[in-house]
Amino acid sequence: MKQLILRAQNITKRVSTAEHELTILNDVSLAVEMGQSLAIIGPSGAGKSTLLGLLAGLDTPSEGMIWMGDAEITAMDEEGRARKRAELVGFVFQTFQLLSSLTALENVSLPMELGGEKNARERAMEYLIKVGLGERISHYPKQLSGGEQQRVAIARAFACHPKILFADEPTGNLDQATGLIISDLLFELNQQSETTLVLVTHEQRLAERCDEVVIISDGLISSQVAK
Amino acid sequence: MNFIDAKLLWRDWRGGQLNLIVSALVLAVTVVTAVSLLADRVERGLNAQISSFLAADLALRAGIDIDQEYRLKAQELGLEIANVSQFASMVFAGESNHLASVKAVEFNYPLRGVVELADSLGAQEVSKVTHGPSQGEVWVEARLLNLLDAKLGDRLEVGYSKLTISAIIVNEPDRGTGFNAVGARVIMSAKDLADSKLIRPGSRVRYKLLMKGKEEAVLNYQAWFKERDKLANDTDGAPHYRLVTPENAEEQLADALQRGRTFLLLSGTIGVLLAGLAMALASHRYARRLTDQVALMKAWGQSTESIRRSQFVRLSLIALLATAIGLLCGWAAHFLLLEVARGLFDARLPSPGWRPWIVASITGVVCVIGFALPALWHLPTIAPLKVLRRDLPDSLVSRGKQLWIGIGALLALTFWYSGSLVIAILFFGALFGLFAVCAVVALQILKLVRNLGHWRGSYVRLGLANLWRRRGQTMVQLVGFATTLMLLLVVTGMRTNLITEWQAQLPDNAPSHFVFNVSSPDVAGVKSLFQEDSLDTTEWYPMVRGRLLSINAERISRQRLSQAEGLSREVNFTQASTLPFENKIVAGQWWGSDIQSNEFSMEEKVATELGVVVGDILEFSVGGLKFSAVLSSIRSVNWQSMTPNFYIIFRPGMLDKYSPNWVTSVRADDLREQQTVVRKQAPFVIKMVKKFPTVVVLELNDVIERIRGVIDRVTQGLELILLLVLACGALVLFAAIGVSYDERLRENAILRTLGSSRKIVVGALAVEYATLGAIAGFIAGAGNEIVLYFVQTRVFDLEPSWHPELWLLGLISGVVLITALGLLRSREIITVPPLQSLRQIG
Repeated sequence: MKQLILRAQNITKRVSTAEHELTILNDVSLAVEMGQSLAIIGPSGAGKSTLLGLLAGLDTPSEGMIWMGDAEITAMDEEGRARKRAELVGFVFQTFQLLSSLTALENVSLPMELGGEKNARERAMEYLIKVGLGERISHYPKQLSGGEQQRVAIARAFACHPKILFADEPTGNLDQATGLIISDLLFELNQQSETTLVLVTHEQRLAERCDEVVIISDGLISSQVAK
Repeated sequence: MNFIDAKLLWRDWRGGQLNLIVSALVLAVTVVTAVSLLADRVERGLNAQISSFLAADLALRAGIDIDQEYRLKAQELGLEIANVSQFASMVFAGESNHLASVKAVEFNYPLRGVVELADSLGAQEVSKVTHGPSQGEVWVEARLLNLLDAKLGDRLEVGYSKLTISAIIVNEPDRGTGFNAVGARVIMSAKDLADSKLIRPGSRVRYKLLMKGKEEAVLNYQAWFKERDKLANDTDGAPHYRLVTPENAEEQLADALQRGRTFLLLSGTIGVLLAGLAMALASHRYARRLTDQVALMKAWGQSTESIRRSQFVRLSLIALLATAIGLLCGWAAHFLLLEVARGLFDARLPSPGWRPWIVASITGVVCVIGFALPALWHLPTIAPLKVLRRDLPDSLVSRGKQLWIGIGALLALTFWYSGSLVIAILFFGALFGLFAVCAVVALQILKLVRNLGHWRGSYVRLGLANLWRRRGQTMVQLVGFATTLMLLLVVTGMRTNLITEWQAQLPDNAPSHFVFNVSSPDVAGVKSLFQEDSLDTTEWYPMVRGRLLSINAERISRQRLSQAEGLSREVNFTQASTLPFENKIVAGQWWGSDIQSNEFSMEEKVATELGVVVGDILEFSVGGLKFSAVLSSIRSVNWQSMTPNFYIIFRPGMLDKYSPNWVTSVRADDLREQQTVVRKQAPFVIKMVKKFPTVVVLELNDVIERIRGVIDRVTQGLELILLLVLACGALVLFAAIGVSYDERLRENAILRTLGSSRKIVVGALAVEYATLGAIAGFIAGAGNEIVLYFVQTRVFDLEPSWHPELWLLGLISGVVLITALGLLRSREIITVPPLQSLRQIG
């Protein structure tokens, strides 16, 4: 058995509203092996993105424990989790999250520059060529189509060589044809770099390309299918 | 410093996110640099003069001939002395004349410092001498040669003496404060004074005894004078003598300059306030833009601390760069101000010190801390989860807190500029009061205007609806612009209208010349000269200089005297049988011809300041002789009547024994006519002064022109500062549009997508901005009218009048300025295709 890179044990997430307390996730446990791809699917409001946020260490559960590699991130403070994220994690978002004042090349190189990477620019260039945007490096997000923007976001995520890539509805804002191209690109780069992929989607076709699919409903894992 | 922070900053700048913050900061620093540099250089220029200001180590000044006792004491202590007398007198060269400021000095003048002389008008070199002119010689200021069309070697008639002009005065040590409002300087030898017959009993002369010597002797003299003065104070009221040391000369000047600097900096503070407002609004928008960036950075593993550090470095860089640019711009701007003020200062101004640079730099830093930082403070604490859930609330510093921090920063700056918490608080109270009134008026007008939109075309409705919907921003813009425009209108109004209005309202028979220093034996001759020329004079008044000593047998302290500005020094007393023109009795009654007791009448303001009432007995001193009189009436005086007016008038006969000189006014020109550049002198003046050289004729047209000149320069300087303030107002407009920019972009994109023509979008924006400008212009016009009303009625005692041209100016400049600037700022909203707009906002 491969080494586990991500493990959640009995996690529950509750939020308080004005009237009552709402349980978004209830006693969820799962484990992801290194290099594996996991899809989390389910209807809107089921708790998919909340689970992704918890697994990525962006948020803390009300109960339960999460391990990233050997480290229990639920036992860390925000600064500790930030260090873990810097070490292991990359993101792709539904809304691309490109910075509008930065060119494609600068958007890709920024996280590496922040991490003190010396050849950030060269690596950014390399990944932009890999996603087919070698000619568009000095374009700003507003000059790019939705698909192109998501390709820049994918290049940004992989250029950092993350151990785990979290993708939140990566094709959610794109038309079907573009979505297909983007998902091809995502899986292709994932295989090349042997990254662990955790993706949230409501698209069955995208989920089917993953090694394992977890279906969430009403805050509970209703089914877990491994291929 | 991490290189990446500079890189991030550069990228933000390139993306246009910092333009407004930086411009606002640059402008704030520019305004403060320009005014502080100006104030500092003027101050230094004047201070530099102080060191040789006295032309001695000590100077005893007096309005009467200095008692021998003071000279003897100086000589006893081993001090070298020099006598100086100063007075105004007509001087002649051929047919030309000028009311000059004459100084008669002994040959050992100046005791300290040097007189700088030139030997021709175009001379490249000056010779520095440490003595006065020889007998028979006279030194004159260059402008006198121009005024009289004379040259070196010509004869100058000073009184009955004919003296040879032997040198041009470039600089003299005891020139005074440098504000040259009196006539051109003439320095003559004291030995020629007797022959000139210029000084007669009752003549208005300022005497000075200059002293020089060892420090110990100087201190001893000061101590002796203090003791002597204390003694005099016990017996006398207002002092005859004043001992001036370099220290107290400096003190007085420093006080006046401190006030001037405070005034300038306070006008600059309005600019800083508006720039701060623009910065706060722009920072708010900048913070919104940075939110995504920070959330991403945190998701990528950046710690709160590293983000805080990065933010600190970025803001510091902004402060540093913008302040540096502001300092440079301010340096350039202060030259413009100096150019405008040229002529108000005689001396070449020295280089500025370090203080203005420090003041301006700290202003830059305080602006960043007070206005930009609060809007950005929460950024490092943004939750990384925000990358997934954008709806997560930010822990923003509340609007209320931001407002208080901003006000606190401004208050601290104002306190620092003025050196007085009271001034700072009063200034702020007044400013915010003005803002509040503007805001209330603006809101009412906005309500009215909103209803107009219902029956107008679609883009008018759209534009007016926008104004109302964003009324918070609208009000901020309105208040900023209306206040600045109003101040500009007031200053313009004062410059262009007030003096002209004042002249136009002078009565038909307003006198144009004051004739004074007429000795009793000359009165008949002068009167017959007027008769020859068929000139009417007003009443003739005898005039003696005197002082107030006690009230109801109680010695009056100098402190109490200083409260009554009119009587705190020697003043002119007169006597009259009839109540002077435009004087009205407000208490008691004017004397009849039968009563022969000692009584007098006092001007009402002075009476109030002194706290005296009818029936009080006051003691006076004239030329050392003392007498008492009963206050029998209190008068109101119209100081604008252009006739001789007096604080104190005695019953006829009381002053006869004090050898008075006489004063009257005469109408020889029409003051209401604007003067041409080359002015004709009234024919009687030449005849008069040739025949009676001791008589001084003051031409009111000359005085009016001089006042106009000073007002012109001062207001033009203020206008320049206010234009910088207006630029800050423009930034507030830009920043306020920026706050709603994304919203506007989205709305207009939707409108365009739904088929609205570009004309409608542009029309709606133009209506919105033009209405904003019109309201601001209207409020400015109204505010200006109110201020001018008070200035007209209270300061100038004029009939109030409307200023339609200023209303129009306010309206037009408001509409044109705001529409042009607004459309300029909104050009992207208009020109970018709708799809691109929507994509840009995301």
